[in-house]
Amino acid sequence: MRIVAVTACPTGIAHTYMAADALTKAASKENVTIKVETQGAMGIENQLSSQDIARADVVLIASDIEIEHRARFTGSKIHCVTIEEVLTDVSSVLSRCRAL
Amino acid sequence: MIERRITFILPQDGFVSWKLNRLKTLGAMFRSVIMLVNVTQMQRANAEQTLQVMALGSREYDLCQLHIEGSDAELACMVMTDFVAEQFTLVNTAHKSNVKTNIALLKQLPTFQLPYTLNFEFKRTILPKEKSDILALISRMLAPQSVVSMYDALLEREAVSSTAIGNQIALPHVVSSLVDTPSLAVIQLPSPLDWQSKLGEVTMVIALALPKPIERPMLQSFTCLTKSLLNPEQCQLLTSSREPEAIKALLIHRLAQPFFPTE
Repeated sequence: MRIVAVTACPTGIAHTYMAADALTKAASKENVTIKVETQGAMGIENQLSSQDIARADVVLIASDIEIEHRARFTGSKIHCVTIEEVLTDVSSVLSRCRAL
Repeated sequence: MIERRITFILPQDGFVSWKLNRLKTLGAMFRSVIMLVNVTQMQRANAEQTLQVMALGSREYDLCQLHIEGSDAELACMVMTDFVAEQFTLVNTAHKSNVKTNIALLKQLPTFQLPYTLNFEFKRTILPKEKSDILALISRMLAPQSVVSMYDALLEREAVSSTAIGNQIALPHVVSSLVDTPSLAVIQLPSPLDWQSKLGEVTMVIALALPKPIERPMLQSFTCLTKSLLNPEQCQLLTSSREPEAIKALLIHRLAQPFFPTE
């Protein structure tokens, strides 16, 4: 399965990157291909291309705030979670993506 | 059960076998179990299992700890402190001879070297407090000149979502012009405190404040620290530490890690 994800939080110095790290690690364990875009204090990093988005089975948005450039995901299957859900139980977040 | 810890830095030859043999011989004199933790690589081995220790793949400047646990830990710690001070670079020890050690003197070593000045504050509260009291205390530690504004900034962040990150740690953080140097304020609590999160109560609060605008090295540094807190073992090392200097060493080492020579 292919997932593209966006992580963001209000301050953008901690949770954005922690959630990205947690997702990447869990995905590699569960044989899920994932690309994570971080919207943090340094702006947008590891930006998702339109090709990435088109190829992905699911778009995962892990954020406590409104993310930037959400319009590009119109038409994709989107799953939204809070940062807390990712930090509490990342594997259940991934299995919910799978069940979509 | 008594537990004592010694924190130290590895010299160029890492754990050479003759030092490991000395360690094993010394360890065998006590009933305590002695664990060797390579903090940098987050791996551990029983100090009596020389092969296991060698398999840790330790390198120069790695931050390590001895965890001595047992009824005679106090005595073993005294003996081990002398051995570590002779053979490695001693950072901190639970033993009383602690006065000799000071991280400030070691900050030019890559283990602790930061490309910016860091303001570090530590407090241990004696009486149980509320979350708001702790945030107020943090505000005073981070920004003594503008306590109220800092308090509001921290509160505003907590209102969006709780900054508890699980494993008994909370991580309040702000980016603000209220500070002009990157600051880290750590509070160790006497009992678990409700941080209004499903991730459970907290016993340690690690607060970060970064000046505006953020520079990339600072962000790299702080995200290395925050990412390390995803590892339950790292969190446990921090929350179970007794000495402020050991906690400081663990945290500053993570901040320094992105700038650590890899080979």
